[in-house]
Amino acid sequence: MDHRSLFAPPEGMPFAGIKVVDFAWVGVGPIVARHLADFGATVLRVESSTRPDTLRLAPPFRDGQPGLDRSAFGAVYNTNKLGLALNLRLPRARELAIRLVRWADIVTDSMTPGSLAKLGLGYEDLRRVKPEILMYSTTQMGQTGPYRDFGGYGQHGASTAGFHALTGWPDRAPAGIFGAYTDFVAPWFLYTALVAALDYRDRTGEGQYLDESQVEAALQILGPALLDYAASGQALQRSGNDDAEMTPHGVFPCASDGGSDDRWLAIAVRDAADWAALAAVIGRTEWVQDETLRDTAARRARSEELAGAITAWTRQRTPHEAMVVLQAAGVPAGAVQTCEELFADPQLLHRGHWWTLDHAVMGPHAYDAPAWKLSESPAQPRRAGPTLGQHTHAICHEILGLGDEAIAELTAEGVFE
Amino acid sequence: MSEAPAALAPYRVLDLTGALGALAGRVLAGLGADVIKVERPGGDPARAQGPFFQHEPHPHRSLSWIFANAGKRGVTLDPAQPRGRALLFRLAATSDFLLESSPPGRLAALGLSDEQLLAANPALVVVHISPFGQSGPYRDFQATDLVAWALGGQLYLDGDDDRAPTRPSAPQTELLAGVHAAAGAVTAHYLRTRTGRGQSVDIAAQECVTWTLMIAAQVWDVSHINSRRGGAVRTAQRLDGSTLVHRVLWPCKDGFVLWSLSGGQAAGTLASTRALVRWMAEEGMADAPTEVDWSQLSAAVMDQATYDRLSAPFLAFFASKSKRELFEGSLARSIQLAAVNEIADVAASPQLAEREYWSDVAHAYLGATLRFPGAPVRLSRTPWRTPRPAPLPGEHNREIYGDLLGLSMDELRDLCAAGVV
Repeated sequence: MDHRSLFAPPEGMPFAGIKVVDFAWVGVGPIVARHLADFGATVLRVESSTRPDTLRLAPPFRDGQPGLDRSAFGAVYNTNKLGLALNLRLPRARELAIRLVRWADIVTDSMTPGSLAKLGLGYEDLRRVKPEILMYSTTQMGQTGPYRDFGGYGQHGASTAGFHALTGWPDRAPAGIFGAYTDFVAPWFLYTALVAALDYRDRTGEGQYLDESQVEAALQILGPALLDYAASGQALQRSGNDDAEMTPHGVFPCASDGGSDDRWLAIAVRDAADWAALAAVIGRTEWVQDETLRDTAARRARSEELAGAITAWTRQRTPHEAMVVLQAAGVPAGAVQTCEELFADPQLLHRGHWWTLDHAVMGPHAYDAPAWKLSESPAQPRRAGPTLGQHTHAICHEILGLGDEAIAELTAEGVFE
Repeated sequence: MSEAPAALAPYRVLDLTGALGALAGRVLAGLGADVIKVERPGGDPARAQGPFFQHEPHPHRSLSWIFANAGKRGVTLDPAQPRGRALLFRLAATSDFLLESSPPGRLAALGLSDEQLLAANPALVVVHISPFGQSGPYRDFQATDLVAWALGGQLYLDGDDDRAPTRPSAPQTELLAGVHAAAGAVTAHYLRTRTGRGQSVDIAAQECVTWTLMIAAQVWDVSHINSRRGGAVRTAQRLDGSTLVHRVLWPCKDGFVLWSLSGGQAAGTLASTRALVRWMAEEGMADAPTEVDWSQLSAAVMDQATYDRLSAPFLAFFASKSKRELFEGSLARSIQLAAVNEIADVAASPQLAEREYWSDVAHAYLGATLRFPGAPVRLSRTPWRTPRPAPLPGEHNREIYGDLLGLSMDELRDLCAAGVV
């Protein structure tokens, strides 16, 4: 069988011809490598069924039936990659891994610090084999320091970095932010640094090692609050939907829609123009004449009364109906969309946000496309996430140069488990 | 001492962004690019955004502006005036990137369309950052942090389930869109290093928010379940129709910790729970649930009465310790537990101190040194750069218009008098 088309660099793509060995698992590490693949790199996702990626064991499963190749979670961060099964605990598997490193430009890691080094695949090992190699390691806490061995997930990172405590109501326990939030902040910093390092390598011939603490990366987007605390000693606290500068600013209940009563509209009044427009739309023009409501502080003092009047209006409308009317008047307003609605959102559809890719076991299912849209070399949905080891045979043939006999022998030894 | 090399040192970035996307240029500056912030004469309106240094509002004291624009030099320029536009073209001709976040179509209306910019400099990477994108049905919709959070799908998933959805109280989608923009910029740049040709990149804050939903959208796609928000205590809906009210954030002596009560067959969870129970017993807790067969007690199948009965000793144990004691004890025992840190806890983190994370940056115009979050990524050969302070409006006009573009002092004075710079 001719596998060469799998490895042909996609012409005109930014990373055509760039080769990546992806030892990372779970979220951030694979997401970064996925974006390289989406923009043309050849990425080999190295996994073993003897120690599967946690996400392959997590729902949602096709037809609700668990299985290593049945989880969308196990697939979505691996678009356009090729799947290689390799049990790195076996010496012969490690020999093959070293041969792949010689082939590669970039090697990825997201294991507990030191795990790959124990297998002889740490950065110091790899640079002896290939001095110009680029390698990244991404973990919750980074490669050094007293907390470096913490083996948590993005929800632990979000909690550690402060996002959980900052989300919720001041009169209650924190609600926390949904999901593994820092897993979806940290990748973009690492990706940007990696591409810069790749350009530096091209210019100088020098490789390097990138150490990312996902907590440290995510703290960037709390920057203003951190600067303020260090300067004033006053720490930002969770405050529901109140905003320091905008009032009214909140989430208002709407008429039931799509069979649900849990329907909401977000409204933010930035300035006098928004204030006048909101008042006009909801039929409260007397507010604009009311000098005692002219500034934000005064409106905040009467926020319950204002919220009551706004709610009386939003209650009569679905979130999308209310949004369209307010937006037509120039007021920032947004339907609080459910996941179901995101698949029908005309703007996300216009941007091609949802890719439907045909997975070898699950069949067609949805993937998020990269958020950055390039005019001349856009990301391309070429392949669904691979099943575990889906392309092992092809990779052995085309990249490692192994014949069928050698492959059979290694298979019998369990190298490809 | 010679400075370490910087990965993006050969490149120049022209940064016309407002509050939305300003972090993009900051990231490129951290990687060594020469970033020139272009403000309108009088200063960027985003300087009105708080929090303010010592809580005194002033355009020079906006900490959100100071944070996102650190590491940049600054000029002023009015692109609506023909001579301002001409200057902008001259700057663009010497630049590798142009970043902007004005309302879609605004730049084109000023004669600064992608076609015109790329005609002037075919190698330019032009990056647009906007709430919804440069085209499409919501292109001209107005947005703030809260609205992007709502339409992107994250807001529905956050907050207590008996009240309205809530966003994190630190506005952040403008910064999040900025780092996506930096990633898009270097992607187009990398192709340019091979072809010599630039292109444009379109970033929408809404779509960046949609990328934060973890697997919730795919749960709809595959299982047709709409994930719903929940607070410290949540109700899990199971596929068989049963429910479990369970705790995600547990009160402790001085706050909360994140932990899940579960056993079952997943090796990590089982070992973690057993290690916590052993710790409780070590500390002499009489009712530590040591006799329980945790391998049979996954939260995915546990009934409510069992869950509530088993919760009690854990609540008591957590109440006896601080979040830091619980986290550090868990770290030593491989227990999957994290502290629910407040901003003050983050600032006092021994991990961040040991890694020398914080960067102190002197700001002469404030008469103060500000403490910045440090490198988001540590590069061994081309380290992240500690930033110069964000510029005052037009601080580098003379240096950039004079030394870089070769304008004479007379020309510069003339442009200044005409309100162009």
